[in-house]
Amino acid sequence: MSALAAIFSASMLAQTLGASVPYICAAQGGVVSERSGVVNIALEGTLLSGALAAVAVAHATGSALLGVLGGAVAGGAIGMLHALLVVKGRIDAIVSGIALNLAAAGGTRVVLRALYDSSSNSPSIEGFRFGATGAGGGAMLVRAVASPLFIASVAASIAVMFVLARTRFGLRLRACGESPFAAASAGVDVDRTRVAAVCLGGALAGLGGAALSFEQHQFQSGMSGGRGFIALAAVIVAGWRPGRAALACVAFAALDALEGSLQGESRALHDVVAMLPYAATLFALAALSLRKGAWVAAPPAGLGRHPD
Amino acid sequence: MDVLATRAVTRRYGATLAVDAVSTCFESGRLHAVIGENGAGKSTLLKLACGLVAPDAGSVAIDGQPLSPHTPRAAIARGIGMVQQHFALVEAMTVLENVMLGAEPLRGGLLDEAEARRRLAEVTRELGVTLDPAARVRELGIGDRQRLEIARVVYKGARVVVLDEPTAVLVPREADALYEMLARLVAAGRTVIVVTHKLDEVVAHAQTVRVMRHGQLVLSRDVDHDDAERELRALAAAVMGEDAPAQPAAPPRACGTVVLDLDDVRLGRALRGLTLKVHAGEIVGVAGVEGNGQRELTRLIAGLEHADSGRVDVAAASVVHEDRHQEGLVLDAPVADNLVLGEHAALSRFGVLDASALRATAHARLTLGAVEPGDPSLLARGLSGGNQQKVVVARALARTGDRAKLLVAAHPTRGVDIGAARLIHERIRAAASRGVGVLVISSDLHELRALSDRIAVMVRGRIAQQVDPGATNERLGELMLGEEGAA
Ligand SMILES: Nc1ncnc2c1ncn2[C@@H]1O[C@H](COP(=O)(O)OP(=O)(O)OP(=O)(O)O)[C@@H](O)[C@H]1O
Ligand SMILES: [Mg+2]
Repeated sequence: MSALAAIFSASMLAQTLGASVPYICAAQGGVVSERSGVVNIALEGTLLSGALAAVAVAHATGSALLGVLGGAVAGGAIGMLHALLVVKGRIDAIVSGIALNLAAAGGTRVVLRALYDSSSNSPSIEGFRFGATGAGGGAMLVRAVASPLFIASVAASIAVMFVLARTRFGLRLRACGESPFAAASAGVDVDRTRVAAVCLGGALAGLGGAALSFEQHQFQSGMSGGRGFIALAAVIVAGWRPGRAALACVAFAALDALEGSLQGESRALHDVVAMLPYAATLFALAALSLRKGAWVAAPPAGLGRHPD
Repeated sequence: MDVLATRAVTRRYGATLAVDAVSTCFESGRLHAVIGENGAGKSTLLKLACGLVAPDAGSVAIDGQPLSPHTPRAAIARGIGMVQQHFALVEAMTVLENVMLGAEPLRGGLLDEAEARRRLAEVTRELGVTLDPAARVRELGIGDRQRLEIARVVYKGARVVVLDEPTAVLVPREADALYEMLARLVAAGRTVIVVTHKLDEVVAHAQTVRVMRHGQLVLSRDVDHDDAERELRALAAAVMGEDAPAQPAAPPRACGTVVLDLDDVRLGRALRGLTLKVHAGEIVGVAGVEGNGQRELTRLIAGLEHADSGRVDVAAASVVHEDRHQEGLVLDAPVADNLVLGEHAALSRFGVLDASALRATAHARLTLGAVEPGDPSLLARGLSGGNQQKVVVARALARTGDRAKLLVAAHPTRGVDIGAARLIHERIRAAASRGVGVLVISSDLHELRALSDRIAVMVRGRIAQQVDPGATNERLGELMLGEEGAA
């Protein structure tokens, strides 16, 4: 009973929403990239790089807003790199993604040492200052909901939905993802559309990275901790739809929060909870391949295919 | 006035000279036909003209001005639109989205769907067709997809509409309707270019004809409408480069045991109580408008689908599927592998693929099927449409006899030139005379009549009636549309 109460308490909800921001941003980045037909497992490295860039800029300028911007720009740059390798260079997207993730893991450590002479973490920053003070669940919840980055992640989700459905860029992006051949025949520049999409997706994931390090008020080496992959899992479970992906991210973040509240419980329980997002993804993929449950949508038909 | 002209355009694919210095002018306001054997370079020539393929040498001119840059976008902007041999539609999107794509009307920076719907309505009115803008392409039949492709091209303001083998997938009635629509376009001052293997269409509907062979333009003239019979023979000779050989008499056949027995078979909404029998040595034709369950029937016999109810007794079957790209070929694998697909185990020794046996088998089938170019190491994607079809048919035919007692051939000569189509028909008959039961599914009534011992008419997932192959086109047409009144 008390455990149940803990799960549904206001502070738990606040923690869930706070933890969901990096997931949501990265997942929207994944949706934008993959709906254009480019597989993006580089989300993990993008989150990590965005996290460091955000802290570095915020630390140097003293402005949280510029820090967030820095995170998005760094993410966009990694997205651009991934896009150029995959779309222009025709390198396998998985290979490029793994390479970028490894490069980000190593690169952030190098930069960390160069800037702050530390192998583990950056100096702490303030981040955004806002909202109610106090330690109660209610105050925490207000803070979580009013957090600029939480609002940004919700706005990003709505924007992605809107852009995909209602704009020219969105229509072309979806066409490239469903059938690059058909899109090219209709006069769409498939390569350019995809580069733009993956770059934009990287920027969104970079924003998620900023949220990650701002939450901790510092950058820690390897702090993305698989969140990019879990965000991708959310994309898959959601059938590549932005709204559902955001909801899946909240659910996965709730597991994070739950795991955090399990202090004192056995190690095995921690591991089981940490495993749940991946189990859910496997389940979704199995359902997808069995073509049973109509609730799992198929991936974009042109995912990973080139126009010719 | 020449609206579209090619000036010594040349295009190579590896060692193949697909189009060899072709210069030709298409005058505006007429219906032009382009004919020629499989692999002659027809599709490539028109893709060059529409900016879809870049020339190695030579240029394309629109209204006397060179097309530059050589992209589909530039060609569309200058009024040239193409409906390709394999449709280029986004299946998951709606009719309206497909129409807009690449030429989206905007309002305040957002897609203006209302405007697009209004313009699409105008176009469909000009074409005399109906299309539901909200329908998903995935749910459309072949005829509607084609109308959508044409509507889209006109929507984008094409003055020249190029169609690559538009009637290969249509039943005769739909083909007539298509030419009516094209005539309406020509009457409105547009220019239409059609690639086809059906010479009677050329004689009936085209004003000019161009014949291609081995990448070159070997004949270009007006169609002689005075003596249709003579013109047909002349064109056939021009395509094949010699007088057409006479059709050999069909070898005698004896009917034997039942090799396919379907009784009250139901499968989703596609098959609704289908009953059909095929005996060894017999050729049964299945006529019907596409989308009445033929695809599912083929997939059921091939074992790709399982019936919800009813009895299915199938001898070992060899199948030519309806869609060569979906079920027929691995496009990014070499032709050799495609020719022996599924038989790799039989071509292995101790679990290791015997490369020389594979090569020998593939080579034999390549030769027997008259696939051009006869190089088994090419990727299947690089073959022309008709030659891809020949690969699929050659593989299925090679399996009949010792292994397969039943041959199911859906549209066996779709996209295949007249010489090769005859060869395929001959070999299907030969298989039947060796005791193979054959089920031919086709939208080509000539083909069904030429091959079948009886014709089963398929309507809405059932066999509505079985008739003698001597039945008239009108009678078959009525039956196919489910107008049972005449029965
Ligand atoms: N993408 C490609 N890669 C390699 N070879 C190609 C490619 N496209 C065409 N070819 C080759 O160019 C030649 C001409 O092909 P094309 O498709 O123009 O023939 P076609 O006249 O349209 O034949 P069909 O009647 O069978 O459609 C063929 O030999 C074909 O193998
Ligand atoms: Mg062709």
